Amino acid sequence: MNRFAIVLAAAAIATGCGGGPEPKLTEENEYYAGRAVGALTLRRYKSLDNPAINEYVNLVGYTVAMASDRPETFKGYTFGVLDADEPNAIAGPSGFIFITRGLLLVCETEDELACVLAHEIGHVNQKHPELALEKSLNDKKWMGAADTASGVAAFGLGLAGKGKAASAVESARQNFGAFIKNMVDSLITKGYERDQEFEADLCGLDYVCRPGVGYDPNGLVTVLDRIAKNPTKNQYGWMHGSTHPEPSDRRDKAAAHIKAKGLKGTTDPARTTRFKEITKAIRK
Amino acid sequence: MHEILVSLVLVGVMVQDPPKPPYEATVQVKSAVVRDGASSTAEPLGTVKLRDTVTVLEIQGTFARVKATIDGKEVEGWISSKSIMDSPTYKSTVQAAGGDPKAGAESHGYTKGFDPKTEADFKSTEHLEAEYAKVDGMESTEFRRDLVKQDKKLREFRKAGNLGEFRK
Repeated sequence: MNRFAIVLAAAAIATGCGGGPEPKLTEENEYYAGRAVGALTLRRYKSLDNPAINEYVNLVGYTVAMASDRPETFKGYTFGVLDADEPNAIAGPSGFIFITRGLLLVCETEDELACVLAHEIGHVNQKHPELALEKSLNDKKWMGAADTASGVAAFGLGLAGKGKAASAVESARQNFGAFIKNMVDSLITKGYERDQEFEADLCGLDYVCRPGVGYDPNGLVTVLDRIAKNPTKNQYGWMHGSTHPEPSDRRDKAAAHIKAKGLKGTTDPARTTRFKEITKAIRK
Repeated sequence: MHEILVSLVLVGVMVQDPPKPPYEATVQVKSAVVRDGASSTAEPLGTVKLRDTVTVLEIQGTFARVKATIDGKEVEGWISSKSIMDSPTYKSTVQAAGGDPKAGAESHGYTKGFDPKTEADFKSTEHLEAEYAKVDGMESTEFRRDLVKQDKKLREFRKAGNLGEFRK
């Protein structure tokens, strides 16, 4: 049965950074899933009580998101900072993106922060959260085996018979809490699939170099290098999650991509100065 | 066998060519900016709202040149092609989720799938009232309130950081 998820994932990956899979949920459906991911994330972690840092992260995030291939989600991107030591970042459906204080502190410049957020925006652009939701929907424990094949296809594309689709949607609605809990657990501990993580890196590198942005793409290389050279016991997402690629592998692929595509940005001390000034409050 | 057939149909539909302009499309985000160029940094001309209909005249990369009615005036400009969906596909997607594609733009709860009712049930069952209030707070910051005004703030931010220039 997992072949459906494989087909969907393969189709998504095959499209490369500019494309992304065709929509299978309405933007509105995705938005309510995103809010639920946000609520459960905020149950697990406190949000950082620092409006200046929160607004700054939104400004950097929006600068990149608006130059991406999906500048608008149902109600726009939402960036939040979590008051957690562990270095991690999470991209939920509809552009609900969280970065922890720990990962913010791993960054030393605004350009590095922009590259980290661009990676998460890459997930949103490529509809990885939506594919993860569909993968959950695919799980036989949520629906009868007889309904699974036709139901998933109908739910996924919205083009098959309404009756079958409705049964899949109804199953999703009835098990909404379980879907979302499963997704949040997976996002925090593992991140997305290995290929999706690499894909998000490459998309993010392209976005930060686009006109209207102009961050230095090498920011991703330097932040991943710092993580690779300072291993911690933390096994979560951005560090060494069970399905997340090793930071050193990501660093090497990112560097190769920058070289192969001739990606260039700019560096400017004004950005580093404001980054250090704004994050001073959380640096010891 | 059944699974294989469905997989083939699924892949077939996913690689289906998009319609050729001109065609009607439906706005599928709450608010989408129409700009004077095929770029997110081009000047905003106005916004179209959820379920507004626009006529797609041309596709260029990830942007579509559209004709839209904004505040009673006909406007021609560029919109992110991810923010719209050709109308027949949009209607069938909403119908497949058990919703009513004809429902008004501002009335929530018509698309079913995951909707405000799903959220209310989830919030109540899991006692997530406080956490949802925080999500509401994140979404209602002054910065996020208006996409067009947000352009101005971003412009100042980019300028101060010597980032890319807007066209004007």
